[in-house]
Amino acid sequence: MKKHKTAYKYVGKNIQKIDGLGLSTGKAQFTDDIDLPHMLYAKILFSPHAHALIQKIDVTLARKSKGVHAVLTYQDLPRIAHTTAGQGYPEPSPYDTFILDKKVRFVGDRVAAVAAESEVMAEKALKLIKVRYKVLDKILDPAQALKKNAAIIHDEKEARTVLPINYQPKKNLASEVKIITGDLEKGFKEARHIIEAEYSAHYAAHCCNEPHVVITFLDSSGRLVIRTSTQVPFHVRRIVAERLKLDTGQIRVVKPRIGGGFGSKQEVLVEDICAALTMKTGRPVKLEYTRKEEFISSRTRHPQKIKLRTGVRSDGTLTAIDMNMLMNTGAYGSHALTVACNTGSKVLPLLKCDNIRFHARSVYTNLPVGGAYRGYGATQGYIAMGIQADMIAEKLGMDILDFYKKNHIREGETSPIFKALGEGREGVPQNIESCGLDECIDKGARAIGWYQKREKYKNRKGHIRRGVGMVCLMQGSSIPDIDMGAAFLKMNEDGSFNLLVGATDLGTGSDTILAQMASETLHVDVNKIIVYSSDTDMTPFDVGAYASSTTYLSGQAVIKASQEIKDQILKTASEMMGETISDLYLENSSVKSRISGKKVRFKDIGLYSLYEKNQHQIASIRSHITHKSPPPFAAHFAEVEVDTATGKVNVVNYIAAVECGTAINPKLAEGQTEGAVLNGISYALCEEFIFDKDGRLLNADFSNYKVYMTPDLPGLTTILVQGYSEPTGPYGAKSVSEISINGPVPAISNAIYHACGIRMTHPPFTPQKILSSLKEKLF
Amino acid sequence: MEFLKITTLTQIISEVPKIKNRIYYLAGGTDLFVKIKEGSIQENAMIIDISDLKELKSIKETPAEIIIGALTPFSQIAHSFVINFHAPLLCQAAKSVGSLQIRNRGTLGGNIANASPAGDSLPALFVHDAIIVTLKRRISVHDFFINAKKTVLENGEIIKEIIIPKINMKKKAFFYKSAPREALALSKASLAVLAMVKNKKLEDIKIAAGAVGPTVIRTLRTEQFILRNQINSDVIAKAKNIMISEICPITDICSTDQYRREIIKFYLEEALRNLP
Ligand SMILES: Cc1cc2nc3c(=O)[nH]c(=O)nc-3n(C[C@H](O)[C@H](O)[C@H](O)COP(=O)(O)OP(=O)(O)OC[C@H]3O[C@@H](n4cnc5c(N)ncnc54)[C@H](O)[C@@H]3O)c2cc1C
Repeated sequence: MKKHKTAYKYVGKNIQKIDGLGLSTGKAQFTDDIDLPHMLYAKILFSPHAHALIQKIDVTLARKSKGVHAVLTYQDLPRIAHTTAGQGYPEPSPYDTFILDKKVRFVGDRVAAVAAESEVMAEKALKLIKVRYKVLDKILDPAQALKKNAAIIHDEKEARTVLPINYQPKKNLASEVKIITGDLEKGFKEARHIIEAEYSAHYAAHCCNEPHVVITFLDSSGRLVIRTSTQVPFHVRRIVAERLKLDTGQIRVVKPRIGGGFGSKQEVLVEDICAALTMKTGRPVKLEYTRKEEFISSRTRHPQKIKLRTGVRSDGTLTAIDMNMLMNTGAYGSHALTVACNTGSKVLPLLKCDNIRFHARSVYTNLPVGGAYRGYGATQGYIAMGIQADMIAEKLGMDILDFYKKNHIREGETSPIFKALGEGREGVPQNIESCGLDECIDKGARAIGWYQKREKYKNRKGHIRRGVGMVCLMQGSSIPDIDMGAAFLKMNEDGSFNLLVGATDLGTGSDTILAQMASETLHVDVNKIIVYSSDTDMTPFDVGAYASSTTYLSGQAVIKASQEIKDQILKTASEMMGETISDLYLENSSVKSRISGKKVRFKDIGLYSLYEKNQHQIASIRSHITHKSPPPFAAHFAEVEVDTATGKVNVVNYIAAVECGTAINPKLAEGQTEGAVLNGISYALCEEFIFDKDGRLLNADFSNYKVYMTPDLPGLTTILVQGYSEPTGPYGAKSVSEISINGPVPAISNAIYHACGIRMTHPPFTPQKILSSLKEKLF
Repeated sequence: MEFLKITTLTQIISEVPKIKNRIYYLAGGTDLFVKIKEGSIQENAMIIDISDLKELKSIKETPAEIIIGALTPFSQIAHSFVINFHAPLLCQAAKSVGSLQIRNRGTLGGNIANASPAGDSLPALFVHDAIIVTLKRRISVHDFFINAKKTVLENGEIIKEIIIPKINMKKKAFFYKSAPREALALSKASLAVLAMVKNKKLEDIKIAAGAVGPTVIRTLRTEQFILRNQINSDVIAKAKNIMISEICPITDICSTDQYRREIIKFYLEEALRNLP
């Protein structure tokens, strides 16, 4: 394996987050931190039924109620089928949603909206809205959705898709993909062992500190301004324009500081209705979901049931993989196709195999709606693959580390899956050009004490047992041939630069790492790069923060623009110095001559270019698209303690060894990894949606929906494996934000197996479930 | 909702009898504010803020008793030397409540008056035969709770203090609580066991279980069975079965009834095995 070592001055350094001080001193402004004169407050009426028709809706009293300025129902809004998924155009999700509709399809679906002078007044008005529902048969079990006599959730004539995704709403089928590479039957024939099991992934909420929140108003020229907590400002502009029949140019979307997204804000969810209220009243309107509303009405991780069958030779070679998956997309098909595709495309290429079948169906139910959630289908897929790999290794009597080392994809290799499986169309073939997975496995194993503990914890006595387990992972970096990011850079007379990017910092630190890349290219300190991001009037386009794309994709746009600026600076300097460009170079905010030893400082160049001679603006705008989605790799190791008397699982140690190409800012990359791991541990052991028989979520709050907190943190070590520079990445970088949420469920499940011999395949691994599995094992 | 702030007991005595509305005391507010937010407090209720009523915030000691002011927050109880000496179970229980923030606000009186079967201080109070003192009467903790969230307190009757009789014998105490995460989690089940030992002989044992019935349950039959027998594996197995017949857990979003039984059995076994 080639390893590269390049000395950088700003890249690879733990530069302080450029918005860190403002955020920690409360100066930085989130969406909700402004109050506009004459602002109204919006509240939404949510459906109490899982599936019902609105027979009559009477808002007379609500409209007359004190302080109320507008009440909207489906009768007041254009009926335009759309998807709430904030994806590129055309979206690969079915168009099956209306701003408001006369049918409600899950408990938490929107029924009406009120804007009033205060929240209390708006809430009072909600209580005065009289709705008569005709309750319909409902589907609460995805396995029932495809049955012959099942209720039809999307019987409206407008429901359709733009891309061919086998959309059959009459059968509750929101999307289907089926791909085959090689010869599956032959593959299974060649197998010495065939391993087969069923796995599931459950609902989960994103639990961002900041809920969905938006403020809309009309500016002095009557244009609609949307200030919103979003991951996708440019998609918000396009999609809201479509839904409200406005011109895109009539809308400006501004993204202030964001309190977390994790995918939930890749959803155009609250902007449309708030904008409609502003259009109706002419007044600024604020809409902010409460925590309960976040739980019942926003988006979730798509639950899946996966049947996985693998064939393997006695030497550990995989001969066939057959993955069959049923996904519950809930009442609407947001990301129904693409999350399902990702379950295959981010999981199946990791282990080499020629003969693969992947069949995925997403079905509608009258339950909460799935959406983008960190990991995006890969998290679900690794539950199956990560546990099954452990089962295979056990069957072969092979150490799991050797199994992975034998089978994982390497530099220079490809997988038929890359080409076969795209998003609503064929994928893009690619060769792996950087892979440090072996080093991740070795370093992780050493850190956790793998070989000693695998021996030591065998055949332990007493009710407290320990075990270690591991899993290997990959993800991607952006969506090839689809995603685009652009950057605009200009020079000021003091030698500072404005960097305007469409890229969307959600608290992730992308503003900082993009500044680091500009600094590196321009040989100037990070504090000379003034970053402004995500304002559709001011910054160039970017698809937004999703698909682990910002560093890899938008980073390249920043480097391209910086290089162009560098050329312009050199040209101006050569004019000023009377020397040829090829004799000049950049160093420390100056241009120097190799010949004369003379130098001009950036501030002299800036001043010269704007005021002295041949005046012009040194500036550049560049875009970047990618033809690849190079995967980062990781090996995760969990050490658990299982109390076989109470069923409680404690994660004692967790090692995440990650290879993400060059870590542009190692501290931030570590932060992403730690966050993802804790997020994943919480998902593995604790978080779950509990519904009653009518499809009502019983634990729609933080006291009953348990999320792990700081005291629950295990000893957590992140190892960033460095030196594997990705040739297509900015300064060799790949993505790091999503990959690590995929590890905890399989790593912990495998560790539990090692500790006490039970195969847990249906998370969350609650004490109840552990106890009943232990009982089953005894009998 | 009306609001009144009172800072002395004399004011309580003079003002409260005049109030006809349903009265809610605001002590730490950690239960009350949740209820207000849920909308389960009547429109015409009277909220009386007693959080600055200093007279009810002390821990005192007499030769025979410990007297804990109703407004003493859990963080103070958790770190009280006196309580730890005479009723270590209560310290342990106090330490397990909520999080540091909740322990700084939440009071013992509030925990009792709120009457949740999962109230963490209650099993400890049961095994110590605590006495709850209001302005007009003394009530044994065993007579105090009627049902889940229901007590014998009349409207406006305020808890002044909680008395824990001292036990002048060698004690062994065990408190177990099952919760889904380290902090801020209600008990799925809890068990307090207090054993009195004299010359290495078990003189008395008191057992109370939380979150496995509408109120905390003192399991007298189990206690008597244990006292009548020499502890061995067989007796432990039988004791567990008797214990199960004395509790009546339900299935709710915190846990299944079956899991609650399993966990209580395990806790009892743990305690009994560690007794000698
Ligand atoms: C996040 C969170 C976590 C929690 N975790 C736990 C936990 O782990 N274990 C646990 O047991 N509890 C827990 N609780 C519940 C709560 O903190 C405790 O029950 C606490 O003891 C209540 O005390 P308080 O002073 O806050 O009561 P308040 O909320 O002020 O009052 C509660 C009720 O008691 C009445 N009351 C209060 N004081 C008196 C008095 N002196 N006389 C008569 N009536 C009175 C009030 O009228 C009211 O009805 C938690 C609560 C929250 C919000």
